[in-house]
Amino acid sequence: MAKNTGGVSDGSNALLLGALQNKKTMGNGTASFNDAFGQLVSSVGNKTRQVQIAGTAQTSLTTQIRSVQQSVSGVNQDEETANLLMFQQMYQANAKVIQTASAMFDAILAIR
Amino acid sequence: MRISTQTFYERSMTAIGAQQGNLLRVQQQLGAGSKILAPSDDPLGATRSLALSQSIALGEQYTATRAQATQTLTMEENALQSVTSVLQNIKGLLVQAGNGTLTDADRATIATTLQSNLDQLHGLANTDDGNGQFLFAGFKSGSAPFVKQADGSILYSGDQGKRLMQVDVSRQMAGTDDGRSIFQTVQGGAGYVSSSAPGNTGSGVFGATTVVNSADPNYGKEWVITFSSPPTSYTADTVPPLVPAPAPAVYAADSPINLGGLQMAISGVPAAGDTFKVATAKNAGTDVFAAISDVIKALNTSTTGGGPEAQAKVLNALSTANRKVTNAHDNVLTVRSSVGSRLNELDALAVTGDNRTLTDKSYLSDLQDLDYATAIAEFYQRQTALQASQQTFVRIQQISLFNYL
Repeated sequence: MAKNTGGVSDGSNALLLGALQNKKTMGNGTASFNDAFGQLVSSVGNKTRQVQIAGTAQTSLTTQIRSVQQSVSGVNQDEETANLLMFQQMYQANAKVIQTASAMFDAILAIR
Repeated sequence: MRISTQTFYERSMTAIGAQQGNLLRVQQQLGAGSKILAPSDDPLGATRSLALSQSIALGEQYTATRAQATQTLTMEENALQSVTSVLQNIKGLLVQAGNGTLTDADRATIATTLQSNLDQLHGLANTDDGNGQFLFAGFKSGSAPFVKQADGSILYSGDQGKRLMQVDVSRQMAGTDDGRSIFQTVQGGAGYVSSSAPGNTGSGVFGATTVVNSADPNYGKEWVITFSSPPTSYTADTVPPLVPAPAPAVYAADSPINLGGLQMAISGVPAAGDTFKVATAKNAGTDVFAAISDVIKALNTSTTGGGPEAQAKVLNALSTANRKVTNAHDNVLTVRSSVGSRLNELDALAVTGDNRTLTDKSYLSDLQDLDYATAIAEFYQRQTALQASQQTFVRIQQISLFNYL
């Protein structure tokens, strides 16, 4: 609206500006500013949610795979301790055999 | 499945981490008092609450605008109330001045009182809102709208702009009325204004006009009665003249003259060449200031030694002014009632607006506000779950074959 010289109380342009609030100016005249912003927020929100869900699913999948991999190649402390004990006992048993054999050999050599 | 020691630690830490995340979330919700921390929590709800927030903000703005409109309209109403009482005063004075026994001095006194009333009216027409913004200036509210000219006449220098205010979604309301439509306008149905020409030399005094037939084809036209003599006769014609021109009729004092559905009687002895005009209120000059100035001039004119002719001039001027002031008074009353109905409408809009804001607020609260009872219960539940995870982790972690060696 053109300038109104002297019309200091002329609020016509302010009214028009105010009317922009609800005017369908965005999206080829289908949405107001707030509508367009709402659509943007909704679309960003939905995308974020999608990504979060995909992220959770992927993490869960990774955990599963890692567990399976670890179940094959990973180390279980108790298992290894048991093995350690087993080998220790075997070693002791073998040593005992050698000791016994040595004692027997000494006894034989002592017969003269 | 075979569980490796590393898997045990990893899974335990993941579980504890998830529990801590949930706990933090509830804690943040409690801190913010809102269910929705980010739009991704509830995209639909977040969008909806944006729309509602805007609606509430708009409603608050409309409320503020309504308060502003109420203020200016109330000021206008007050000013118009004073204008009405001044105009009533003036009408009383005009009736008083018509008393035939008054002397020149008496009339001059009334003229002085009228002048002070006129000045008062002028002041009221230049009412401002207390901040130097003139109420009745249209858009040009920076300067006084009714300016006294060098010759004493009062000129409207404002414009016809309506200061519209957005008082509701689809309602723009004028916060004030411009001076022209208050002081220089008459209503469509305003009465006919009769006047005698300033150059009349006879003692003819016109009476009141009455409508006898509003269906007459010449009804609503402006009429001029021209006298000729001798013998005293008159021609009543319209402006522009009728075709064919009407024939002259013989004048008889106090007998009604037909003017296209109107009737008006003239008394006294009009002289040849005297004219009387009967115009619609719109065409007769609608400026109330000019009407009052004219009658003050007439009252200040001496009638001493002028005989019935001078008396007739004063009486005619008084009748004209009385009719004009009555029309102006009716117009001011109409504007006042429109101001009153606007104030009523503002009240009604305020009720609807408040209701809508309340509905919006409760809906918004449903959408985003946190139910503290539920949230606190959830907080404790999650806390217990986290503690359980931590305790079981420590217990299991302590179990080892080494403990028995």
